[in-house]
Amino acid sequence: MSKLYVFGIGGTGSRVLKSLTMLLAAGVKINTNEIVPVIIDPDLAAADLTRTIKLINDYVKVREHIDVSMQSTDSFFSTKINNEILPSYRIPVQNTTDVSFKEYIGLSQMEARSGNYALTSMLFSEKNLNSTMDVGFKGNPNIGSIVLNQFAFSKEFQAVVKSVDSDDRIFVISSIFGGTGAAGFPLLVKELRREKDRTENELVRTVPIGAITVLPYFKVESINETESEIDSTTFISKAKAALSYYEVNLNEVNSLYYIADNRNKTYKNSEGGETQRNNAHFVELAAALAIIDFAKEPASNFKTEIRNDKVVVEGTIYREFGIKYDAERIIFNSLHDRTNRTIKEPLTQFLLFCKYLDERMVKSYSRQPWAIDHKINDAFVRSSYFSSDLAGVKSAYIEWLEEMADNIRSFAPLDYKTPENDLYNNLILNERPRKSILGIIKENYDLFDDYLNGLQSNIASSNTKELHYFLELFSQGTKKLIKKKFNF
Amino acid sequence: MNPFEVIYRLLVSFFGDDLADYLSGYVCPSEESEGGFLGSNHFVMYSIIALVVALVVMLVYYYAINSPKFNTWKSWLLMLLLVGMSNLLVGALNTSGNLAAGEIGECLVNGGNGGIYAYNCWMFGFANFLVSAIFFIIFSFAFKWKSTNCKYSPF
Repeated sequence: MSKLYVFGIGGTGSRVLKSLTMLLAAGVKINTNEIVPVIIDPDLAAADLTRTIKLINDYVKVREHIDVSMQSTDSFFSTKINNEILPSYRIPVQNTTDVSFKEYIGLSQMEARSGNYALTSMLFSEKNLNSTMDVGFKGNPNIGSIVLNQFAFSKEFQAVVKSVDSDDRIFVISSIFGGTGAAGFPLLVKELRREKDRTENELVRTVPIGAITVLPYFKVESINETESEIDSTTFISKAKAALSYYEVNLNEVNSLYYIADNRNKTYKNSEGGETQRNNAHFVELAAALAIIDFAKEPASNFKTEIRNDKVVVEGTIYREFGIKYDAERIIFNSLHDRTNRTIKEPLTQFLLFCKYLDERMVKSYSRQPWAIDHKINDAFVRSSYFSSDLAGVKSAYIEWLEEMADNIRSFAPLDYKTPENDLYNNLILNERPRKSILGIIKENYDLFDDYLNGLQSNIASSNTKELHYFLELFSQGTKKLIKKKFNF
Repeated sequence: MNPFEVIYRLLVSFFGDDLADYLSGYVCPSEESEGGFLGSNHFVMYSIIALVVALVVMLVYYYAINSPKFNTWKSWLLMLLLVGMSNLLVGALNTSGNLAAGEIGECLVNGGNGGIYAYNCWMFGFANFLVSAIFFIIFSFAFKWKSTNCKYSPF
């Protein structure tokens, strides 16, 4: 049973984890038995973080109602997200609340003319020293690299390290142009590959580590320095500085992915907290695809050895993500075949599933055989796993697609708003659905129900888990339906 | 008495004994014969038509159309009305035609010694409606279970 540990550092880390969770909900295949999400972010209130954790929690609760032994490998929610190793999904960063950076490092205890004081004053500006850390490091990796050093001593991190087995893999998501991600990524790799006598589990030293470094892909409003310390004009210079550091010091990673976008949207400037709520972006989805690509890589391509108690990685794989042609608005035709093979079908399937839940479920479940024969009734619709957990994932998925469509660059291959009486036209942009001569009696949601009713007897049904049956039916039903309408 | 006739005889109060006798094959006495149930039994023909129409409509509804759009009791009722009305027309128009053409013996028709009016022919059509509806109901409940979309129609 192999596990893939996915460390999401900072706001970008959380957002990429959200995209990964969306892909898994839609049934995108990933070559691992389970995902272990691990978020490192001192900004507990950041909306990007809380949204991701809520989504993962909903996903896990939905999966509690799935009979794993009877599930298809490409069904919705088919990949396990592990919440046993790290139930909160977070590694806490202690003592950052209501404390300025200079208090954190104990500047007042240093003698005014000592070497330590002088060195500290040289490395950190007055603004750095007076900065609070409740909402993260506000784009200051020099602060982050000091404060984040502590996470390795937390019991949560130790629990994660102890749980790693020899056939597991680790993936790290970070941005390079902010504070938390840029500082946390090299620190994390250092902690994972540390010396034999300083680690709780020596296996961690040699398991394959992959990482994605997200280069600037958005800007923030330029406002007065007193209102926000984050200034997007520094993103490129920070990225360059960090890349120079990585080039020399980051050589213990087996696979390193880079992604960036030169078309940028300007977000509202938020230092962190509840207002740090960036809309989902295609770059985050592409970054999540890097995780899938890393999991797919044959183990023989990763060469990690211990020489003189030092971890030596040979032949680090470097990859970048590209689209077929530069376009302001990305649709499926803009993507390369390999990307489309991974996401096109599942994203379309899950969109149809979500639309059905919103627009048809109430009308159908009391009279369609696929529902009546399998106890999909009022009690099922009122259950918390349906009305809260699954509905939570569904709402988040729609919101995620809409946010990506509204962003720059826009990712808008699917249209959630196709009308009920013309469901398939324009559902996938630039792809015309096939017409059927039976269109009058079986079209739109009637055709959808027809597929569900036709398939229901083939679905392995668990006596006690209606949601298992429900998800399996819709997974197979939407697959057949879009094959019929769009031939993919 | 054949089994089909038994069903129609249960509804004889709708269309009257005289028309029932005619449909059973009754021939009025004449110089050539003493009369009696010497003709062909029309009930068999109407029964077979009702059975076939009910069976065909049932198969079309449950297995050809077989649409989630029409798996409501209203759609099923529409099918039942289609079966019933077509049989009503077959029964009423055919017997009315027979009456108008003088094919029904004088001893049975109004104006002679009998009591068959055109009204009786339409009431026979109504009886035919009921018989065919019963056939459709029986066929529906016997064969609907293999329909993927309409197995719970009407309920």
